[in-house]
Amino acid sequence: MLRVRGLTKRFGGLLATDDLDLDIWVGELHALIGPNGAGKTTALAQIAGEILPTAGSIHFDGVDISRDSAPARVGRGLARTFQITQLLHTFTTEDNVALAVQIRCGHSFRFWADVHRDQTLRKPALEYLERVGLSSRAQALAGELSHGEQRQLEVAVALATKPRLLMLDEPLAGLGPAEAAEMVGLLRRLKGQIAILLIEHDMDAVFDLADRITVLTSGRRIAIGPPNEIQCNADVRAAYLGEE
Amino acid sequence: MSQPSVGGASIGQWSAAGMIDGRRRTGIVVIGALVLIALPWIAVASGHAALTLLVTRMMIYGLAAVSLDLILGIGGMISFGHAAYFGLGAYVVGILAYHSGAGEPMFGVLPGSNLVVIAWPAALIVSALVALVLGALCLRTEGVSFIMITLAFAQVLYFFFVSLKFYGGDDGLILRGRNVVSEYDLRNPILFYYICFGLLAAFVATCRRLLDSRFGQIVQGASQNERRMAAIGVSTYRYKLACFTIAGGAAGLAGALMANYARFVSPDLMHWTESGQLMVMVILGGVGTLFGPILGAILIVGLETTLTSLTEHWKFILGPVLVLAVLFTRGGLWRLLTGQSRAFNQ
Repeated sequence: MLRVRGLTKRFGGLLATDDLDLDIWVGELHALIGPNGAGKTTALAQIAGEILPTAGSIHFDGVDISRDSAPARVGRGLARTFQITQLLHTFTTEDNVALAVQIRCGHSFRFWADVHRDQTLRKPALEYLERVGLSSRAQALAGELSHGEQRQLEVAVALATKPRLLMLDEPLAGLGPAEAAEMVGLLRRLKGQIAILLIEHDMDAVFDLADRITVLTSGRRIAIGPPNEIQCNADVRAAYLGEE
Repeated sequence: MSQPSVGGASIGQWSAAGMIDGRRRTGIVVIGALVLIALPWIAVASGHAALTLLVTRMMIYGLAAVSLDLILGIGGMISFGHAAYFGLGAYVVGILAYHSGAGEPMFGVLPGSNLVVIAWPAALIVSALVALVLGALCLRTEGVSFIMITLAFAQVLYFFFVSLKFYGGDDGLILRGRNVVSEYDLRNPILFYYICFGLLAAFVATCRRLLDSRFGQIVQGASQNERRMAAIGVSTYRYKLACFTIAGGAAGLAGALMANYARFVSPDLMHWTESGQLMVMVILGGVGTLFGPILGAILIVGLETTLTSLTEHWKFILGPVLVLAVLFTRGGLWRLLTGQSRAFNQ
C-alpha cells in the first residue's frame, strides 16, 4: 500500500533519513521504533508531505505521491497525528472533528449556513468522538482537555479524514497508565480496519500491537520483521534494547 | 452548585459563564445599537447637531476597522496596508463624480456617475478586485514579510495617487456634492447618518454569520494552526485570499462613505499612518471581536476631535492615553466591557 524507496533527508551536515526503504501492507499495523533522534518523526513528516525529502520516492497505492502537497496526500487517504498535539484550542472538541469532516465533503466556499446546525457534519463528528471515547467532552474547548484527551482527539480528527493509512506519532507519550491502556484498546480496535504506521517508545505496546516492526538508528533501517524476530535480533539489542 | 466530579464541574462552570457572557454581550450590542439609532434625535434635541456628523465619521471608520478585524483578528493576517482599500474606494467615488461633473467620460469611454447605486458598488468592486490581486501576491508570504509587503503595496498605491496630477495629485479631489439616490441628495446629515449606520450594522451581522459558516471555520482554523489545517487536508490559501478580498471590498465601501462624508478625497486616506490608525482601532477595541473595533474607532475619532480642539500638539496627549488604554484593557475595550478580559489573559 505504501512503498518508500531510498528516502534520504539531509539537514546541512546531518543525515536525518538515510536511504530508508519502508513498505506498509494493507491492514497492517507497522511500528517504527528507534532511539531518540533516530529520525522517526522526520521520516513520518516526509511521508505526510510536510518536509520534502532530499532524495527517494514515496508511492501510495501505486501512485507516486513524492511531489504532492501535504493536503493532497490527506485527500488520498494518508492521515497523521502529532507528537506535540496540534489542535484548534478555541474550537470545541466536536468542532475540531467537524472541521475535518467538512473538508472531506468538498470545498468550503459556503458563506451562510451555520456549521453548528449542519447535521451532515455533526453526526459523523460525534461518531468519531464516540469511537475514541470522547463523546462526553464534545462541547468542551479543545484547549481545556487533559493531555490524554487531547491525544484521543488527535486520533479522532485524523480518523475523520477517512484515512486508509493512519500514521501515529507517539500516541502514548505522556499518558498515565489508565489513559495509555485506553489508547492501546483504541489502537487494537482500529487494527485491521485500516493500515497503521505507529511510532512509539512504549515497547510493551509496540510488541503487543505490531504486525511488523522497522527499527531505525541514525536515520538508517537496521532491522525489519515481526516482533518475535526483532526481539531476538542482535543488532537491535545492541543498538537499542540491549541496555534494558 | 453541586460538584459531581472535577471534570464535570469544569464543563458546568464553563457553559454557565459562557451563557452569562453571551447575555451580557447581547445586552451591550442592543444598547449600543439603540443609542446609535436614537443619537440624531438626541443631538437635535440637545442642540448639538454637529454630534451627528461626528458619530457618522466614527461609524465610517468603524466599518473600515471591522473589515480590518476580519483579516487581522479573525483570519490572523496582519495587514499593515488596509487604508489602501479605504482610499481606493474613496477615489472611485471621487473620480466617478469628477467625470460626472465635467461631463467628459473617463479614458473617453467610461461615463462618470453621481449615483449611489453605481458609485458605491463600483467602489466596493474595484477595492475588492485590487485586494484580490495584491492579496494573491501578499499571501505567498507570512509573518513579518506579510506585514511589510502589505505596507509596501499600500505605499505604492499612495504614491500612484500622489503623482496622478489629473485627479489633483497630493492636493486631492473635491467633490461638488454627495452622491445621489435617484432624486434625493445625501446632503441631509440624518439620512446619511442612517445609511452609514445601516451599512455598518449589515456588515457586522454578515461577518458574524460568516464566522459560523464553513468558510469562516476554515479561516479561523487557518489563523490558529496552519499545520493542523494541512493535516486535515486543506490548503488554506484560497480561503484566506477570499477573506482578504471581502475585507478589501468592505474597506472600499467605507472609503466611498468617507468620500461622501468629507466631499473630498486625497492620497492621505491611504497613507501608512492611516493604516496604522485602523490597526490601533482594532487592537484598542479588541482583536477578533468584530464589535470591539467599532469602540476603537469611536474612541480614536472622539479623542482626535476633542484633543485637536484643545491643542495642535494633540498627538502628545493621544499617545499616553493609548498606552494606558492598552495596558489597562488587555484584550481590548470590548473584552473589558463584556467581562472576557480575564479569560483572554489566561
